[in-house]
Amino acid sequence: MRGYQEVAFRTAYLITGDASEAEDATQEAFVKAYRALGRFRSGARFRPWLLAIVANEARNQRRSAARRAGLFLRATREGTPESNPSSPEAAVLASERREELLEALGGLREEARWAIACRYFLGFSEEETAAILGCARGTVKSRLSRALKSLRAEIAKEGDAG
Amino acid sequence: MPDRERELERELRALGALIDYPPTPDLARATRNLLDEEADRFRRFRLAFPTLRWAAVAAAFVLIVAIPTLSPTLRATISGWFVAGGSQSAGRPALDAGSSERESEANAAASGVSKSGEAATSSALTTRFSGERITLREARARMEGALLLPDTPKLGKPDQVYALGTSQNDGVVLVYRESLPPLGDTGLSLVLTEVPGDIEPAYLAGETAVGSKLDRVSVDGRPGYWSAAGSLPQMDRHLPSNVLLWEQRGVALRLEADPPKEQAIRIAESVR
Repeated sequence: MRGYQEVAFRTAYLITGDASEAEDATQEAFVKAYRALGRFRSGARFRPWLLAIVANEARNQRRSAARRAGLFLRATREGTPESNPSSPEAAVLASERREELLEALGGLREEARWAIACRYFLGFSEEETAAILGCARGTVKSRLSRALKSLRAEIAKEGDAG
Repeated sequence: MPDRERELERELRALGALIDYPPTPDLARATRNLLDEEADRFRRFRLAFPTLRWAAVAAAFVLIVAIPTLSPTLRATISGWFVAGGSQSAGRPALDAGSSERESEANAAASGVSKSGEAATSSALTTRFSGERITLREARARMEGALLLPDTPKLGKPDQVYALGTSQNDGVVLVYRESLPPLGDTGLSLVLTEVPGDIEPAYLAGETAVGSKLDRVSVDGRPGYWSAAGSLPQMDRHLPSNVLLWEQRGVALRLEADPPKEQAIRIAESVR
């Protein structure tokens, strides 16, 4: 489990938006995974199986439906420090662009946000993304493509509004 | 891939790289400590109650030797007790001989919404779920307000509601007794299980996924899975039912009933 704890914790953190809830969810998932090891299909990959359990536990940890929408963005926004700007002007532009992206992500459906987070924020493989999204591996690409399309539309919408 | 798309992907990766996650706690060690503590508690419990081992031996004796010599009625009753215990697994419903006191209490709580109670057949009376009997209101609270119910005049409201597992987020089981053709001699006609989360970890993890024959179906545009009776390992081995799995509003649903696929999907599509 030690080799997986970081990726498991980060996944739970992006879902719950809270370090202590993420810790609880990951530990509970590890216990459940340990108890379910006998049912793990031999030949299957362990990491996607474990991540699916972690994601499920993390979703269960979220205390109330009302909090759900903002968690992912809060976790992302609060955890995004300033990058190294080449100039003050570049820093402002970069910061504005990040904010624009985050706002656009906030306008997406949860399913689309997760497709993007799994692939680009957490760097998961298609198989791992499929396990977390609870869909077939073959549908990850199309789901991601739709998510990016929606994201571009959201960005354009913001651009028009601005 | 157009440059614009590549650029967006690059920006998203860069944004992801900037996320400053909290330090990862040593969860592997914490988990190991927790499991060790559990094992210790179990060992201490066994040492403190050695007579339980004799109880287990006695139970085995009843099953293997005594039951075959009893009258058919008494044999069925006693077998029911043991089968009920054996069919239970973590987080899943199982049949058991529950407390009739509790049942009447929960029936009273569900009065006005239930058509079961006194009208139940004799086999229905012996078919009970071992999870805690709860009211619809408790089920709603347990599902954080996301309890989903079929909206068909034929079904009406569930006759009984059970908590699934022991923790708050394990989900609920809704039991309908007489609305549809019965499931064998179980006294049940439809069982709807609701678990927060996705279908896969809820119902298709581990051995369930191995060798299961599942047809992909669409439930109101949402992907679902259909399994004819006998081809999907049952959550409860006493239900000879067809199974329909789908996900809706963050809840993984499992509908177990006798009607054919199209009718089951229609029922599923009425769920809201």
